Amino acid sequence: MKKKLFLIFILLITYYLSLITAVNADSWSERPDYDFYAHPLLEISKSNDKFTIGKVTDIVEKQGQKETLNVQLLNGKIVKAETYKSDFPIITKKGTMVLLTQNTSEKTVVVDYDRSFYLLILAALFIFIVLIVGGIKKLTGLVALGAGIIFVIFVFLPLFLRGWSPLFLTVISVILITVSIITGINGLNKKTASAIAGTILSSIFVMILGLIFYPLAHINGFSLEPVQMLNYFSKNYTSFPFEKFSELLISILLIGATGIIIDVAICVSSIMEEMVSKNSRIARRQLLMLGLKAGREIAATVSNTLILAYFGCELIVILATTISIKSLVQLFNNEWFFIVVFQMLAGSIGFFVAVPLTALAASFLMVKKSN
Amino acid sequence: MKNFILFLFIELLFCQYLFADVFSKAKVLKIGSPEREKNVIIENVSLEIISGKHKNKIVDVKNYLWDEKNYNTYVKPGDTIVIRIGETIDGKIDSVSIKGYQRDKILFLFLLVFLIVVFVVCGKKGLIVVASITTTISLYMFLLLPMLKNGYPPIIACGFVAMLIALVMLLLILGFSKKFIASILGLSIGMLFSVLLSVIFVNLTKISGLFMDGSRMLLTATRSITGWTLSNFRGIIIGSVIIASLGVTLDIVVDIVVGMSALHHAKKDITKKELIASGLKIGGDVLSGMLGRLLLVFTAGSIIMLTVYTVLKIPVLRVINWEFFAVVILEVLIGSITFVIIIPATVFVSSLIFINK
Repeated sequence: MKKKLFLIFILLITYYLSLITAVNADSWSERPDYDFYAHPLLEISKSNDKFTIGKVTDIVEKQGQKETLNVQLLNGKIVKAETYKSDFPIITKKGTMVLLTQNTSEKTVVVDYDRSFYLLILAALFIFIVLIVGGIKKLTGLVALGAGIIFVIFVFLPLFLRGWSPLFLTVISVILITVSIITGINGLNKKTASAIAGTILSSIFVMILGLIFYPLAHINGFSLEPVQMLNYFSKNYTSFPFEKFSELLISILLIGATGIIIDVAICVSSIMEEMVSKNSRIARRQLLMLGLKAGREIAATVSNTLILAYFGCELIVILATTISIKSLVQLFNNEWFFIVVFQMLAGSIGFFVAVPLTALAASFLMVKKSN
Repeated sequence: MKNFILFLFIELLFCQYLFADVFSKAKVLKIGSPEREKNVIIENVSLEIISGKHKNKIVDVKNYLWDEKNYNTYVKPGDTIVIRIGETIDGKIDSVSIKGYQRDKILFLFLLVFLIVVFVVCGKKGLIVVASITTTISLYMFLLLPMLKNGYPPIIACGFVAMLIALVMLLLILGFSKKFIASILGLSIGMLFSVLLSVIFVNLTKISGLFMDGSRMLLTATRSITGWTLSNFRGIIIGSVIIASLGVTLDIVVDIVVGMSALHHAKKDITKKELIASGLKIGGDVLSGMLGRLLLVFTAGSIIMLTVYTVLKIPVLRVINWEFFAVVILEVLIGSITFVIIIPATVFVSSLIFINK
């Protein structure tokens, strides 16, 4: 109970502090991370609680703030668990799936709802729908995509915490994701090779843009709270303090842009291959021109995609920020705003330059001699 | 809970008082001798305000330089920086603090780079690109955000604005034709389905809206919208999925409708069954490529928070059940399902519209 109250206390304190420090300041009269030592995440990290999932079978007794439940664990065992009332209570009834901790004193406490069960159902539904619409063949393309993303999360993340350069790792993962997705969709041929070349060259272009503009605008991400947390926790709780925040932000920019660059490159290379198959004696220059013309159409129709994707993903943050930001001077000079706009525009530049770069690569790969 | 709400109202008043600050640009004139304290160096900086209503006034400010250099704004004489001015009730300068570096010029420079690339690659088509991007941004900024701030239900607001954006985009790309009607109908059916699905799952996973464990400011600011309740929080998750997936769904709908219409033109006596089969094939061909766009944007957005969990070695089971994480996965899955559902919906609707017997 004490622990719970303590957490709520911290929540409220941080809540007040957020008002005082104002939103998104990047010069501080008080260090914003001075209270991180009491962050709720650290509590979880320090306590060696084991987490399990269970299903409430029945409610044994209610006693003021405390409720005792019978919970069936996944292995069939039934244990007694406790749940406490708070401002954000976990309301349980028979059949609710809950997340439990079992700490050293052998007491089992309900800490949260179990959400993984429903997420799994949703994932199964997704796979089912893809199977109906696209058949088993399309599923392999999606598996390649999923593998790429899992690679980023489980291989890429842990390595840069060991002192590797995030930018180097990102370039490697972008190359791997690109190769796996494009070969997953098109198989191994010249079409694939030119799409891969176009994607990688454009990604490097986006990276160079980031490398030029982020330092110019003094971007290090420290007005974003997750970055403050990463900085504080890695310096104080791991043996590898993380330093390269600017590089990390460029990595994020690059990964977000890769998806659409890949897509545009695939479209351009497919169209060009069709042209070559229709007229095998086409001159290199002519092919390049036709490719550019077709690619232009594609780029023009997808121009909104990335902007809408970022607007959607960041809707809550944008709403929150615009509520508190009242003046244009503040908005246009805000670090977070710069990052969001830069991600949108630089990603879009990425797929625009993917058109000529892929067309160029394809014209060299698909036509042997320039005649 | 009641107390908590009361609390929020008091805070709301507090909030508005605090945010009545003025932001201006200022030029650094000279830097005085630094004072050293425990873990901070305080520079006394004298500034000339160069914009806003306090223009041409000269003020002295303390610049805090922490031992953690990333939190600092380094200045030298001649630099332009952004400052925050707190005012007294009668509009005089009460306090001044340094806010950060000036970034707007670089932002506009980059916008210029973007426009140059667009026009070099697209030529005259660049105008359509600029027009469609401008429409999207202005509908979002000047219609959606005010609607949300004024307390409209997020699902309705987002759905409405998404439909408006879709209408404009489709008119720009297709013109007013059978193709346009087919695509708008396909899009609406798909979206309706996804909204239903997401309402069910957001309620099942019991998202409370306190999921922003990374950002205190979100909680503060969104709570300050009067009349917002839990259902608004759940609604905004669904709304953000609608907006985020709108781009890709529009692309796939256009691809399918244009392809099917061309087929119908090439072969007038094509049967409904054949047309449906080829429509599904067109959709299936571009499915994984387009889904990749959406998934990688979402992945990029959650990398920092995932890294924080990795650093602290939070158990996997805890992370998966965390609201923040559950919301991301939920958004990704619902966005993807919407995207896939839209394929058969559009194919079916356009087969009905193109072949009417």
